[in-house]
Amino acid sequence: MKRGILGAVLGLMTLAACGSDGVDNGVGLPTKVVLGLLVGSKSRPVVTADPHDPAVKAGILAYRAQLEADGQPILLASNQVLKYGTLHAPFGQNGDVLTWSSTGYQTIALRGGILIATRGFGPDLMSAVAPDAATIARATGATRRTYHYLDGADQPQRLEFICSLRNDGPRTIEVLAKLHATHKVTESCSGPSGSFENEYWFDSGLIIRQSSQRMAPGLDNLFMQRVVD
Amino acid sequence: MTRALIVTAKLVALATVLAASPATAQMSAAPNLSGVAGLIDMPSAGALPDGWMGLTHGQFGPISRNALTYQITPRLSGSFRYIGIRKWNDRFCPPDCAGANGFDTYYDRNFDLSYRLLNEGTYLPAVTIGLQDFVGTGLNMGEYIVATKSIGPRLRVTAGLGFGRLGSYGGIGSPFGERPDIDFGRGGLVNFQQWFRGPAAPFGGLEYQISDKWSVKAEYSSDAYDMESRRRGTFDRRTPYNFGVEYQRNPHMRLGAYALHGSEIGVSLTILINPDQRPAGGMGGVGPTPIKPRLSFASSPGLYTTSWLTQPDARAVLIRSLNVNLKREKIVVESLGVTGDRAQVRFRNAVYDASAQAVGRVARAMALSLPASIETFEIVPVSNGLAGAKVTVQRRDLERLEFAPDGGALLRAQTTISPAGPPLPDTTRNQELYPKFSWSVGPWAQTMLFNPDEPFQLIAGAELKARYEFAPGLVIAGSVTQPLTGGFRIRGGNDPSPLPPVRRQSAAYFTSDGPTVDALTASWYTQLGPELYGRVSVGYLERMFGGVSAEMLYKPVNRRWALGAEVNYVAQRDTDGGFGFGDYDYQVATGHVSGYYDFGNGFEAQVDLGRYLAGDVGGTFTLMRYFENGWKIGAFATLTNVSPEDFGEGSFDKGIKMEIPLSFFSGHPSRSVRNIVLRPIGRDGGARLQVNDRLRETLRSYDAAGLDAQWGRFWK
Repeated sequence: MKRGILGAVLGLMTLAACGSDGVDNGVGLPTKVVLGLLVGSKSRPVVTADPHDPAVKAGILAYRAQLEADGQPILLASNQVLKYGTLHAPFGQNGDVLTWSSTGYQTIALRGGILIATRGFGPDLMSAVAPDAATIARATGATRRTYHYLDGADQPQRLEFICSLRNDGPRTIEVLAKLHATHKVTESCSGPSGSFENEYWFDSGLIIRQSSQRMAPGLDNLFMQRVVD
Repeated sequence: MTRALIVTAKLVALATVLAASPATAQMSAAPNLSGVAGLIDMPSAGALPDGWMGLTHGQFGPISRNALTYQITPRLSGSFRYIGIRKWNDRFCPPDCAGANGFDTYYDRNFDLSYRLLNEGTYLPAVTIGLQDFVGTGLNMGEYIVATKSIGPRLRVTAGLGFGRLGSYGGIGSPFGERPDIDFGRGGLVNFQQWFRGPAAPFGGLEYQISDKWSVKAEYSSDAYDMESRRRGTFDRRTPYNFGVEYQRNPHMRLGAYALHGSEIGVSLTILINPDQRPAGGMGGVGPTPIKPRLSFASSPGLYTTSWLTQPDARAVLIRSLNVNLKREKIVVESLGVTGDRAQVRFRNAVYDASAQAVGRVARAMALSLPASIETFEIVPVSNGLAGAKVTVQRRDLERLEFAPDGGALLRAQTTISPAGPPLPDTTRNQELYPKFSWSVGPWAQTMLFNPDEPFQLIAGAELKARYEFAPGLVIAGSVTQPLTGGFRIRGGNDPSPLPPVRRQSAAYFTSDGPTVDALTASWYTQLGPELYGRVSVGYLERMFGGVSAEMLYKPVNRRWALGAEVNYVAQRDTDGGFGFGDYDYQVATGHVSGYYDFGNGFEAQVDLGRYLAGDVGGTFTLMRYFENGWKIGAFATLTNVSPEDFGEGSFDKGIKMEIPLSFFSGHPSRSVRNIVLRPIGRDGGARLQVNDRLRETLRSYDAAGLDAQWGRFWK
């Protein structure tokens, strides 16, 4: 009986209070299938869909056509740990840094396609010292990276890494039902706090068409695809 | 007899949330069945990680213990424990069930302190000295000195010498003389004369870590359980040997199972909380608007015109634009002033626990909305019409440092935090803001702890809050609660006491199952000087008292100290939750002068001197440890001219205080703070009036120290 009451109370505590000050949460996206394919893993699929199913494929193609018709650059980004996956559009430009935002105001700041900051995810990358895209595209030699985070007491933390670049050769990738010829570069980083790998797929114009880049400790990399330029 | 204490009921819920949180750190020692770092029933020289808190439930045979242990500093640890011993009178009742023999379960409250004298070295063990139940009625009173040494990565050996209760089995004589009989009177006083006196007995044991999650323990106990076993027969203590196995589910949850004293099975559950680190890590919430850099003057001189300054409605238009850009942050601009190339925005922040983040969001909106000619941004958080600090940043620094590595520290070096001072000349108020009405409905719960008839009672329901602001600092606010699970159940009469029942009958105010006016006040907040603030409140100030309350606070923005004074004239309300004052016919003038000091090392002290609700005169000393994310944990004690005899059980008012930011658990920005006051017993001496939104609370984190503590969130 006691447990029943406690359970009910705990349930009650999780209910948000309502009031006169409503919150604007933005608009959801009609992209469950696309995002499900992107975010879902074999063990925990977000949406069960077979990308080879003609109906699913037709739906994705139609969706791409719609995005292209809108004429707005689109970045598709996802993170499995956060169960996050959505579209982002350009939100602001400061110098050579382009900030992309989702409708829920999760933002991703890229300098030439290289991740240097995120906001709105919780464990955000606050800022970073990172090699530029041209250096990475050369796919040889070593780079240094510094990541700045805030910990659970909002105090700044700095993590340093030394990375080596590796050319993985040409790869054909599919980005939302469109094939791209790319060459892949892997950046292997290690430091006192651990190691990780960033991966980049450069297309012929040296645009980073697809990448998987470190975001924050304890999270998977942020996986990004440039869907519409 | 209403030996009860009422506290808000979030602790259990919070602990449950944490139990599911991800690993953040390794535990350096586990609490024992009593909740202190130890073996099974005996203490060890281990300690929790600095600043961590443990909530332990331990149970074996007829004995149950619920303990809160806090690692106050790396060496100093404190515990509060509530114990219950069932079958207390089985040997006597029946046949004699009269008076004190009539109850089944004996309840008691214990405070412990332990201090690590020596940290473990390569060859030397850690050594800790400890006091158990040192202000109680003495049943569990004991002292110890204990050494613990790790041998390899898996084995820990502990040996100690106990006194008092911990020297009651297998004694080796009395090295420091006889232990005088205890005269505990009303309890609650420190029993210095008994410490480390009387028979001493050795204890010890082994802990072996089988794997990351599993460990086994064995101990030799020096506790004879004389009262519980031999005299009252609540269980059969056959041997001094205890054995156990423990499972560390994650860094925040530990479970144990034990075989004790050759006759009993025991279990324990410990929830460990690290207030310093939010379980979710970084704070969530919507991302900010990027800084919009201006085109250079050289390329676009026309953008830098100041002709707009002469436009009559320019400031009002800009206020609207700022508010549109800040809408999703729920930040509202109260006023905008512009002089030359300088603009000052005063704003209210309903959401961000970190005032630096709110300031950062306003800075971004200013960079987006204000004409290019404005170079200097003055940003002033305002709460109830009161301005604490002024943050001055240069627009070019915002543009330059938005994505600079470690941009927070770089920007802070260019930023000034100073007293807010008066608004700029020609400041325009947000005409759309007042009058402002707001309301909310949310869950509400209260617990009543430590009532011997029913030690844990919980009522849950809903709370309606409403607020009407006529002008900045002029507010009518109120709240009504409606229990949905019925009110508290109280049995028995009241303690006789020479003091008026100003708190003794607090549980009676929660017995109604109808709606109750928790508070309903009209308040006026005003800035009396650059760093001097005033408040006057009239109405139903708290659930038990209504009247008039006036307060002044001097709080320099860049100083570690503050001074305050408060005077109140109040009458005791009726217990039915209505508007009457007839039940008690009690009025009193009460008030305090208060001094606050922030030691700058994570500790702050507060001293209050004055007259308390029962008319007694004295002082309260409060010492709190605080964390940058808003957690505060500490203790307080009040001594007044009420004698221990007149005060009643406990002898004087004391307890543990916690301020828990709800954002810690939700991982989303919120200014809601849950205050928990845990008293071993709630009595009338040393009782203070509760007033919502006192000045210090209103200005919380709106000073240089508060801004700097979470400055990293400026760019968040």
